[in-house]
Amino acid sequence: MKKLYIIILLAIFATGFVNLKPAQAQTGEELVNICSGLADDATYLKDYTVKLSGAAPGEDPPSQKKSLMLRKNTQYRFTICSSRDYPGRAILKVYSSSKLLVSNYVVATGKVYPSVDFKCQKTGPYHLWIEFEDGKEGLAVMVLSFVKKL
Amino acid sequence: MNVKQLLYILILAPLIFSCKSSSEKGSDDAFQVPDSVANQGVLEVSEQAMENITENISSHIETAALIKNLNVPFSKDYLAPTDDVDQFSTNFDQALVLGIYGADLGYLNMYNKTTVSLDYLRSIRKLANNIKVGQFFDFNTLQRLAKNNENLDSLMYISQRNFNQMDQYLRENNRSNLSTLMIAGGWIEGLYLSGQVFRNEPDPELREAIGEQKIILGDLMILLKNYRNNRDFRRLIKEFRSIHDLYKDVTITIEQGEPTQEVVDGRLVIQQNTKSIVNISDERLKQIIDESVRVRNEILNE
Repeated sequence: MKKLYIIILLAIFATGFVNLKPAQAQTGEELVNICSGLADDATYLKDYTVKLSGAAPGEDPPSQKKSLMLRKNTQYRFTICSSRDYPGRAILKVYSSSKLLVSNYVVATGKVYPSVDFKCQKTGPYHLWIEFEDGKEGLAVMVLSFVKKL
Repeated sequence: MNVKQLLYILILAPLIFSCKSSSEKGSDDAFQVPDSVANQGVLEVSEQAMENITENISSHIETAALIKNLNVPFSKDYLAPTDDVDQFSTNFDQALVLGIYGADLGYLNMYNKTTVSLDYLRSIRKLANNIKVGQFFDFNTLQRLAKNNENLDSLMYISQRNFNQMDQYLRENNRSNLSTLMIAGGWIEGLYLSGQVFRNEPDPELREAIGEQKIILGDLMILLKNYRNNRDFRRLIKEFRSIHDLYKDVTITIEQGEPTQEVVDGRLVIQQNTKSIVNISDERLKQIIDESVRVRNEILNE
């Protein structure tokens, strides 16, 4: 009978073992939901997921480019969330006609903001670049939200 | 049942169930795409360029927000009817009308008209299922939120995100022709809504918003022309060109200025000081509005 209990305990252990799942990595989908929540009272418009490998020594940091249309008299919010599973912290840059307009990284202070608001006064296409600080590997989501009409 | 049999069950059951779960997932992911909806022929504009252009067509939420911001009362009369959705029998029409309903849903959500929006949610589900993207439309959650008039932020978020996911899925699965149609439908309905509101409330901001559609329509024409080998697309291009032609003498000038930045309540805020200014005559504005009504009603067989 004692032998039987041991076998049953082993079987239960085996059952538990089969059902064990490895620790879940943070997915892009989860990041979108987290990031949308961080945008506070702004209304979600779009999201972009960016996954980049780390730069080799001496190489420029890899970046991903997207294009988007923004409208005049509108305040937008860019919220950036970097995955905890990767070392890279995402830096956003928004250009209009090759001119840098918006970034969540302030060079003067070295501070990286989790979100940045943009009061748009020119309707047209804008170019969005996302890279990771110091060219590290990273996964991030950028959520574009509508704050208000100006 | 003896002890040995019990042990076999305990050990094998989880293995069997885990295998079953995995095979079910596989069948969900691998649904069939009918040949009739796949892209036809070689595209003149690359998929990457198409994606960039698509991203350049702004959300209909913004049009709805602009209208609401003018303190214009809600009107159900502006919306496309949903009572005869079954008349749209081809994937071409279904995708186009799905875009129209998407814009209407944005307008309804912006005004918190959740009771009316239920009809649109049902019609959107039907059309999305017909073009095989229904799996991205979380109808049950949206219906619950709308019925209970609860958590309107979630309602807005889920509906907008679902439309983005449908669009992304179509583009990633060689069905960007349908994505283009959804965008075209959403765009024409946005212009129609702006025009109808402008007729009743001739606000300068709305006038400018209609005028600046010249930029977006230019991009949309590139997307549509990519499929001109298809007869239905040729017909649609002809309709949209009639609006595009009216925009020829609408001009947009730019006043340059340097951006400024400040931190407000811990958040970085950047003010753009370059401005775009739209120049459009009263007569041209009226013609664009009238033509948008004609084209939109033609699509809806009204």
